Amino acid sequence: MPKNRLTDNLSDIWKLKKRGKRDSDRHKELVRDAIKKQGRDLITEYNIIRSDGNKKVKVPIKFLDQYKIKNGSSSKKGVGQGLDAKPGDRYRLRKPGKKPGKSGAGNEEGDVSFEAEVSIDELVDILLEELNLPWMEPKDSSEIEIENDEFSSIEKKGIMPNLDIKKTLIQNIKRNAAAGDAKVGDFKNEDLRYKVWDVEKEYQSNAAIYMMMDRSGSMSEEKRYIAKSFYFWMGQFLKRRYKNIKIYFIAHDVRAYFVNENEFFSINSGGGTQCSSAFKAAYDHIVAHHSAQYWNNYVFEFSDGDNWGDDNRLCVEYVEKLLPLVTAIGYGEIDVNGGRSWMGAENLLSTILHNEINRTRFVSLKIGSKDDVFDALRSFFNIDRFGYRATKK
Amino acid sequence: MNMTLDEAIEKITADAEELGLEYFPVNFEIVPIDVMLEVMSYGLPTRARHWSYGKSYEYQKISGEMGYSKVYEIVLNNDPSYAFLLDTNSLIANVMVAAHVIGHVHFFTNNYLFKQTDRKMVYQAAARAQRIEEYIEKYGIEKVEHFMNIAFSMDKHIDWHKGVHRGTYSGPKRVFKKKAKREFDDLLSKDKKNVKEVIENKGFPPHKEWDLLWFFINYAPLETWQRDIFEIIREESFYFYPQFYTKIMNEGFASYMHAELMHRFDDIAPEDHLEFCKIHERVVQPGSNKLNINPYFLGFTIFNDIKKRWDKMHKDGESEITGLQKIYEVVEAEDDISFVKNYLTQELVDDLKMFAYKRAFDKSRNEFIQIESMDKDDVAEHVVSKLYNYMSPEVYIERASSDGIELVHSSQDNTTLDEKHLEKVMEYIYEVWGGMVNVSTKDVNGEEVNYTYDELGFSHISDDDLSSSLFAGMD
Repeated sequence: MPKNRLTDNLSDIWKLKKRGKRDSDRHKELVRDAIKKQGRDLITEYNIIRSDGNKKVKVPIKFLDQYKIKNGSSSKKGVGQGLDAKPGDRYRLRKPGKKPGKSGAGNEEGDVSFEAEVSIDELVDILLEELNLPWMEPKDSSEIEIENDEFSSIEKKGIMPNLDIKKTLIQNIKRNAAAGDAKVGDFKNEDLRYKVWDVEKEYQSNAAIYMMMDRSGSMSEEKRYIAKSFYFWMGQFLKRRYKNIKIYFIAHDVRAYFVNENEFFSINSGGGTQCSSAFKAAYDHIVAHHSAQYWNNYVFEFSDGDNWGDDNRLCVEYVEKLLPLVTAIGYGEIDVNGGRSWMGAENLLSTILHNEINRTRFVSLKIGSKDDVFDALRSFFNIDRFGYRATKK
Repeated sequence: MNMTLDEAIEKITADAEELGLEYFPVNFEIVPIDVMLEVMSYGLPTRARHWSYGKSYEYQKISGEMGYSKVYEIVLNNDPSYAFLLDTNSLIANVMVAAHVIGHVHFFTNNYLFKQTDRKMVYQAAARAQRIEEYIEKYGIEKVEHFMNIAFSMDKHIDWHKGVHRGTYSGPKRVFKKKAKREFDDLLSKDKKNVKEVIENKGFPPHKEWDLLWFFINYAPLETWQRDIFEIIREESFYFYPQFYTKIMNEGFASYMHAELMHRFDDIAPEDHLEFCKIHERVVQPGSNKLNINPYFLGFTIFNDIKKRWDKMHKDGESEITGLQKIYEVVEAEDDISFVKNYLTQELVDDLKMFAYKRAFDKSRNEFIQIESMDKDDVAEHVVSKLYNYMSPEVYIERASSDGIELVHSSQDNTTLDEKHLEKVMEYIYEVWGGMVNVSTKDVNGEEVNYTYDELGFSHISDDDLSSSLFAGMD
């Protein structure tokens, strides 16, 4: 007779109780890596954009796929029971996934998905890493180290564009005078003096963000959604960096209006478009309230490029006026239809700005669909980086 | 119940002997749900770690918490066998589960497929897990995990009939070196060995090779630890194969036996009896989804039917053996495919109102099902259709040389391959073989499709242009 018995030590011998946890931790780690790779998709995830603040959001997460050689479609054959049926009878099926909750019961690999709770903060971590924006990470102290790119010392070695002509001329005259002939000319390398980007450390944690958007009739819901995704993450990222953040929403047609967030993303008007009105409003506001000495100003404008021709020059003018006052400034042109035939590319505001304003703190972007938001964010926050890079010796 | 679980197991053991059950001794252990789910996710609790068990564990946890699934027992095919019972189950539930377990262990012990498995697998797996831990220590988790991923991607592609232990092909032992991966390396190398080898290896492998891991273990340029990982996962696949092929029978028989053994408890209090009936019903009900059939129910029903029919024949002098003896015979000699085909009767199909159907879409893309047949042969064929080939596409190695390897998918009923998965698996094979990988299959319209994975990555040719197929024009 077989000896069947109760035991009580297998769990210990086989080190049970630990394996499931260890391997599910490992799985979660790999899922996290996978989310990172999906960063692009998450950027425009509707549920995330809709939420505000640091609330937890539901992110649909697939379990990691285990790759197999497997069939392209599941079997179409089946066996059922308990129906008075005859051959040829047809039964309609409810569409799968319509019954919330029930879909989780599937047991086919790859079919399984569930929603994981991820806080916005965790997502920002993941995205910053994926966007490769480590300088956006919060610093240890509550004060944030700001590096000012002032030309504050003059040195002998440098690169040509930074040549300080005035100092060089003086040096040249001095040298010639010492040789008995006080004139300008016969330049030698030793005359050359350069401006050097010096790093001044300040402890400053204020940022003002100007989110601006064209609200003319041609800005469809899709375009506004793209702008909203961009602005959502822009706000989230900057929150990481600055303690004190002020956000201003400026909607415009031919005139600019300061509005609240809700109005900003919902209102449409039938009017025309003069983007300069928004840049001017931001400029006036910054001059009045947010001097660059104490504030890191971020200015961004979204339009679909339908700007009135003679307004384009004005835009260039205001962007140039804004440049010394901001940490970063950008313009995004949303063109979801892919190119417009009636307006030459050379006349688009994005093209004009791109050609005219050749400065590291400015970027002009074209956005074709919500998939481009990820790259747009990267470009915008990269000007931030290059701005600082220029300050390094 | 006025006895302890210990005493109940003693009684079940005695009754089982009386019924003629013969099986490996069983060690029962009562565990909390976490351990239960862990053992379930692993299948073999002692085997090497892998993230996929963690995934399964999470999934089990979520579906348990949501009430989708309830697990009563887990039992391991081993001599002695190990069974796990849940600590939150009532006594009567665990008594019933213990009886059910003994049914399973009899099945493991006697079924022809299980007889070919390693009965010391639990200990083997522990030793292997130890080796894999050493590899992790030495090469890092990522590398080891990666190689396990590769092995798992092909683990269903075994050749059961050739067996787990088989020798290499006759003839001189071939060794394949990794082909140079850089584009011009072959032009730069002094001898034109690669070119010659393609021709020499025209007839290799000597026949269609279905056991993919076996082939790579023996012929791919692998390191010893990589080969070991492949061997471990391949042998586990052989170990689990009979469980996959006997689900209906195994559960049906265990359910039949727990009912049989529970009937022999004569002093069960009415409330315990009621609970027993409830659990039993839950286990062997047809299922609320009419488009599906619960394997426990189907197996249980067929075994009861066998019992009834053979008892009657025995009584009428038409059979030398009784219903129960017939059941033991069936347990020994059949698997799910032959079991359903041989013992599902038209009467049962009619009684249970079973039907074979197919899924399709109408013009407006709404899915519907169409009843195809209520004939027992059609119904049986549909029941077992999912079991063929370990539920995996039929893929074999057609040819291999140092330059590359060509696999063929012999597509049944225009089934296609999942491209996303295929790409990854071909990338794996490219890494393992060290040369171009070719897979030929058919698309939904039955047209030939050729997939290639080489140093440029994944691509496919579906036109008539098959000239870049690795071995095209050689025959």
